Amino acid sequence: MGVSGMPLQTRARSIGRTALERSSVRGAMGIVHSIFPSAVNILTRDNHLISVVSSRVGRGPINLVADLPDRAPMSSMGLEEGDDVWSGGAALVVPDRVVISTEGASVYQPERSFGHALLPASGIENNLTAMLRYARVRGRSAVAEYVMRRLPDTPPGRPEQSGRPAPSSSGGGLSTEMQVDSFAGAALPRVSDFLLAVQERSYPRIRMSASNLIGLGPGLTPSCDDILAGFMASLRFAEENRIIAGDHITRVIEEIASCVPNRTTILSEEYLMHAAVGEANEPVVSLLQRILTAGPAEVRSATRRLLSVGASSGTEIALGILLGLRIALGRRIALGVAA
Amino acid sequence: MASRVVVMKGTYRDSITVMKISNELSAASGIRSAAAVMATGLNKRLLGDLGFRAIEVESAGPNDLVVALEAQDENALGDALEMLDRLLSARKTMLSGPAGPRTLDSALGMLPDANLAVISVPGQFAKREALRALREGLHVFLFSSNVPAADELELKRIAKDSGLLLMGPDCGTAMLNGVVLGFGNVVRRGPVGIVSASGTGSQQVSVLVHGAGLGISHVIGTGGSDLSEQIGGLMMIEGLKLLEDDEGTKVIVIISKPPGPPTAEKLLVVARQCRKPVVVNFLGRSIESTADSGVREVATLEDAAKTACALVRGETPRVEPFSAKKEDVLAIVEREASSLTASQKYVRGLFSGGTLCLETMVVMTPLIGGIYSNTALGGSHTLGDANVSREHTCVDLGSEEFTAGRLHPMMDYTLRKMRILREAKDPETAVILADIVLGIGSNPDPAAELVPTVAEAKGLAQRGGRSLPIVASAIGTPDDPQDLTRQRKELENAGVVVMESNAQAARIAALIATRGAAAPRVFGSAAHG
Repeated sequence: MGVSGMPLQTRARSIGRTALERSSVRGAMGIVHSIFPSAVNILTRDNHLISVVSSRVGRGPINLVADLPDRAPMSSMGLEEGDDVWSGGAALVVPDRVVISTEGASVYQPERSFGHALLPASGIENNLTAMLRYARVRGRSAVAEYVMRRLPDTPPGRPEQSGRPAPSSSGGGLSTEMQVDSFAGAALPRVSDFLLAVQERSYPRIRMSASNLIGLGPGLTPSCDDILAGFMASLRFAEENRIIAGDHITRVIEEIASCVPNRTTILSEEYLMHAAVGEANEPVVSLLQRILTAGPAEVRSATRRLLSVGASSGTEIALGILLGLRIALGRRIALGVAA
Repeated sequence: MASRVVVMKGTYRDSITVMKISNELSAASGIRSAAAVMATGLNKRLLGDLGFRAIEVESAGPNDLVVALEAQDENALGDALEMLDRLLSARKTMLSGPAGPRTLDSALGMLPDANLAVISVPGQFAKREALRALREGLHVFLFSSNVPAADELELKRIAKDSGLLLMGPDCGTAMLNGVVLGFGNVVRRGPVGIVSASGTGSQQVSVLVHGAGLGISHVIGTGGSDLSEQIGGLMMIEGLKLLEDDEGTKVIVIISKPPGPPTAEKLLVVARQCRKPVVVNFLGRSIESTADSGVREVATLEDAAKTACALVRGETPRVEPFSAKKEDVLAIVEREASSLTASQKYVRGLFSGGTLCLETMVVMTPLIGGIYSNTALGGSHTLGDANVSREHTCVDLGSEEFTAGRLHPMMDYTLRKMRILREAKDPETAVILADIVLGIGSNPDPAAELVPTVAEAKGLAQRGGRSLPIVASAIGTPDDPQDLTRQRKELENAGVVVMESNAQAARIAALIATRGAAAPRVFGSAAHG
């Protein structure tokens, strides 16, 4: 609450397209669902989320970036879980506590098609190698690290014929024998199976293997969900830039998306369904943009930002992006394990 | 053995909190395994495979938090459950926001978008920190000094290979996208880009460009030893290429003390290939004719600024010895020199900027002869003791011998004030000359520091039956925190001759010391400067 019992009045710097649609109703809109240091989630009456976030989190499809002082925690807004949230058309209101004006906020709709700025395949591959090397050293996810160990720095120039594991890289900061936690051990064969199904264009198997991944792993957005979110978003970017044919991509993503409802947390469901149409939070989009158009130094910088997302989510999304774009470039990925 | 599954309905905790709970419980005494996850179908099945089966788990949904614990006995399990309560109740503390960063990692955690690290640690640790920053994909502004040349070379090669800038070591000034790093002036953005091995040289050119109504795109510092033969101008070349590709930069200025011939030639080759006009100021190097290319070599920092501005405006570069009319300058010389005694023969220059000291010697030597210095142009005029002036003397008070264990003289005027008083007592001192560098990072009010000392110095001379001209250049802008206009006015009111550039201050000091005898060389020579 603001001083003297007055509600805190602030404004939105940016609002995602979905958040704008969901907040455009008038009247009772939902409740405060959860409060994190950098985000307050609002659950709408039709069970969707709008995230009121600090600028540190950045823009995203369901995000409303509030104009709060730098580093001010969301708890400083004085909200509590269960508080009613109303919409006044151009403002979100928690009675007696907060008024967030959305008037004049920029709408987040990032560019996905890069035209002449698009790198050739070799440039994109170099960037993926830079990202992989960086993520191996700086990553924070047991699940992602366990998969990344089995990926070569640079994939073979043409599809491999055998299903043997790719040689492990000598680079990176992983211990020689990383202790495999239960989730990582469970995830690896399932990810492997999923990738084989995608590469073999076996759509029923894609659906089955995706359903074996969604909701698996620690975190508010389970690890395997994050991998799939990065995977789908990267495929949509590849499709948009004509790196890979749209019909196959559309089918793959439809199969994955059909498995999402009711299998995972509400927040993860949001991210997955947005990734399915190529929408994601700024750190994800920024990394994709740089991989497709910039140089390794900028890719490393964007990777760093993505890896800082959540406890392990950023690393897992980065892995999903790597897998998606390598497949889009026609590189065969074989993790060498069976489900 | 004892196990327990705790389901918290509708409990949302951010991933970092959940991971912290999971890790701390796993590490607790007597705990064999622990997991805190959202109760999605697959996670529940996995927990079942691990032996955690409970009715509560089966009824939990994807938006419920489930914590599974396996302990060696009931006591350990009880302790762990208490710990779980504490961890969950600690949430409010965790929501209170992050503390300030103490390491590069924590800084990056708080500012993941950062693409540049400013490093100012003792020299022996600088390489390690700079390497870490480069590996993070960060450009580096390395303020630290005393970094071995071999380390500098290694860092710069890594930076170059990574497409990054390593500005330094011993880099005091840069301005990127209008943001000043280290020392710098408040100038408008504009079409002139600077890549420089000299901090005060960059400042001088920046403020003169600003004063001419134009602005600065970027200032890329390279560190003073970048143009040594060992480093070979690695970052100077990278900076030049960056400015060449920068849309906002129309003309590029290169500033450095004179490099060795191989490095100078290498740089000039790159500069000649540049698609944009390049103005080169290698202070003290004899100027070669480069009229057939886009490169113009000039003698002074002021000439560099004026030439760059003319090129931006499509005009023919024209440099003059003074901004004021010749007769007005000579009137000042007459006023200041008229009451000098016969014993007052020498200029005593006291500088905070090494490059400004060097430029002064470059300008004054042809006018008054050899000048002694702790950074002498020729070995024969090296001061035996930098604390004791000899004949014409210019001292760089920012050199290591003066700054060890104390603030740089751009910030701390103590040494300079003491030296002014000492020179004032010397009956051979004809003119005291000083640079006054304003801007971000510099002393907040140089006039307030100097005015009482100026009065005391003039008083000392007067008691010795002499007058004491004091000349200063003021390197700054009216928008600097110290306000150039106010500084200038207060110094002039105290009897200081304030010039708008270091080169002009050097010329007028030479004119005063020679009682105007150097005028033909000043007004005749500058036409082709």
